Amino acid sequence: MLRWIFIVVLTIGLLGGSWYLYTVQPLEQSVNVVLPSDEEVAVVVPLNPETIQKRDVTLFIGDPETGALIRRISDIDADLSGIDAMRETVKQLLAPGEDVRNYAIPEGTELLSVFLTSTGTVYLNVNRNLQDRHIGGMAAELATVTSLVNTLLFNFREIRQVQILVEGAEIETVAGHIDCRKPFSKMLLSQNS
Amino acid sequence: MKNLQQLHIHEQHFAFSGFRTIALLGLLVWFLGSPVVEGGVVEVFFTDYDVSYTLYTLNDGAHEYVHLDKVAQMFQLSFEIDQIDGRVVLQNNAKTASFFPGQSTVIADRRSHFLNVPPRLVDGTVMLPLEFIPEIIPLVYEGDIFWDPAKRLFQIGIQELEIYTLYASPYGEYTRIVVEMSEVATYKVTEKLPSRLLIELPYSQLALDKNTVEVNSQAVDYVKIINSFGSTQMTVKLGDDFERYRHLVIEDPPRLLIDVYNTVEMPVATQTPADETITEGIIETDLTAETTPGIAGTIPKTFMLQTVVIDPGHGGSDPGITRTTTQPALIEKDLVLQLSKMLMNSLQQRFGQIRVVLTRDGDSFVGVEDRTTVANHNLADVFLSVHVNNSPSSAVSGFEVYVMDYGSLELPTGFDSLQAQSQVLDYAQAPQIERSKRLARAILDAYQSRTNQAGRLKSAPLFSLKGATMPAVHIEIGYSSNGRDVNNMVQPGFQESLVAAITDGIAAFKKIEQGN
Repeated sequence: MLRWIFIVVLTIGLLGGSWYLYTVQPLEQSVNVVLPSDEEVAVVVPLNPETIQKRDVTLFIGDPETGALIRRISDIDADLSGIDAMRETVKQLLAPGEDVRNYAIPEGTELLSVFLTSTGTVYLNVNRNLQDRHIGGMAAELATVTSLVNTLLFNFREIRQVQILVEGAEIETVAGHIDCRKPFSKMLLSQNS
Repeated sequence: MKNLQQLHIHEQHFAFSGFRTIALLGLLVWFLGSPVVEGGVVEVFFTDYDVSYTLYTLNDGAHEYVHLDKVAQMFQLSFEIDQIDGRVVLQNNAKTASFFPGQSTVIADRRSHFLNVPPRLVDGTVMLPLEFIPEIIPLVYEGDIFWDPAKRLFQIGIQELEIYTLYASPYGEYTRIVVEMSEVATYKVTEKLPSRLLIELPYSQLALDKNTVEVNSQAVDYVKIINSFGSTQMTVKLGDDFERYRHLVIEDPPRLLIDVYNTVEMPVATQTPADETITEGIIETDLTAETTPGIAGTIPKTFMLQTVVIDPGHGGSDPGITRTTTQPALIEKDLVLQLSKMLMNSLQQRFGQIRVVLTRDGDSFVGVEDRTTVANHNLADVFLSVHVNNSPSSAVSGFEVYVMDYGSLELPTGFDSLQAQSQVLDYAQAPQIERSKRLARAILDAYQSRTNQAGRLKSAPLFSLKGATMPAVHIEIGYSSNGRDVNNMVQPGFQESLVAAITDGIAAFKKIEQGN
């Protein structure tokens, strides 16, 4: 008897829960969510942190004194490769360190996803702060684009082109000057780095 | 007892069956209730334009969908969604395709077409099943569409281009290379001067008796055609006496002509038969080449300063940079408009009969490409875009003049074919870069003379310059992030000096171009 009561209660619970999920939660997610997204990679803490192999990456970050880009050597786990390494490098570029800020990148700019095609084009998808919080002006915009493009092209030979996306969409410019419709295939001018 | 045991076994069996059923029901409900989570990518390649798109797709576990607006944009289709009944109509000239999201029937070409998977409405956005592209789009778009599932690639356009004949005929001052094809195709010329010209065509079937054609003339060593990585490439190995070339496509019969000259001056008797239609392809200059690219066969003409187009940056909903700490406040769109009008008056006073056109004469928003369109349509001799600069650093200051830099951009993958008609225009500035630099230096020299301050010549991949078919510069009058510059920019005296300097610079450029 108890067994039957249990079965009935379980059935009601399953059906009720399913009804709740089906009717209360939206059936489809926002289209903006459905893009190649960063997956959280489980961090495995090695037994001896001193044995973690590191690999140097060069970050092109904006200098607040001169307005130019300077090269900052940082490092990422050598175990990271391909898209993971690119993702980690860009994350460091956007936030180089606790006391270090990349003045070429607008505050609040976050990496949403990185996607690499078989033809070597990397799609760098960032949030709208790249445009909305940009200070404007040719020099500042050129520094922003150069920071992103040069960092990726410099560190990853498998990248042939860099296309900047804002929340999944192609953009014409970041702040009205630099043509971002096409991917960049060569590093931008060294006058800015 | 036995009955009780039987009953107990029956109960256990029934209970087990009950658990199994509930578990299966639960799994089924969970599966059906699962939200759409996955996304993918397909490539769309337009062979006619040599343009490739990447389309993001939605995947609900069974089918893939793409955004209606992205598809419409790619194929240059207009679409409307009826606000009352939700009907979607795609249109290309007189051709239409209409459907209701949620229904599999599409009305096109005066009949019904049935999709296996209906279009959907997701978060207010119309999503098309992937099959919509090969099944329905060809009914409104003029072009063949082929789907390669292994590569996840849609190929649009000419599929069966054939090259029948390749030959070269040396004449006294030039060598003519002729490629006879099954139909007219767009192509791209890459200059690897002084040694080679590379002509890239859509992937073609080669039906040539002879492929490498040995010419050994003064201008051309040999010509050969190969198929490589999805396209057909013709290599013209240039001779020691190569000076310049021109290229054109004849429609009837379809053939590509390339005339390679071993003389600097145009021959006298160069005439195009009246029944030939000339279409020029894209020119890409290899900016990494050590030597200066050859000219593309245009007849040099005396520079005439008849029309100047001035582009006051920003405007309307785009104010540009604003600084309210100064008196008066600095609002970029207003300041550059004011300066542009002053410059217009200055040029008219200096040059008399000159025509000066502003891309905007009020506080209105003008698209970036529309600005160079104004310059091109007005056959401007000089194009100037006027802006105010900004930097994260307050230490950076000064007057800067930018010219176009193509070095960081690669043609044409990733190119937005909505601007297909400007596929040539996007690289229109390339042949003008040296002249643009001369214009920029003339303005900078004049600025230094007038203000006793040095400006800087820079280059960047600028939206505002790339489509300009005349000498074009982008002027940054000063940095809004620098206090001194800001104070200067709002002062009438500085503005007058600035305007006079730019006028002087244009005058000096005119003299240079006229050889005076």
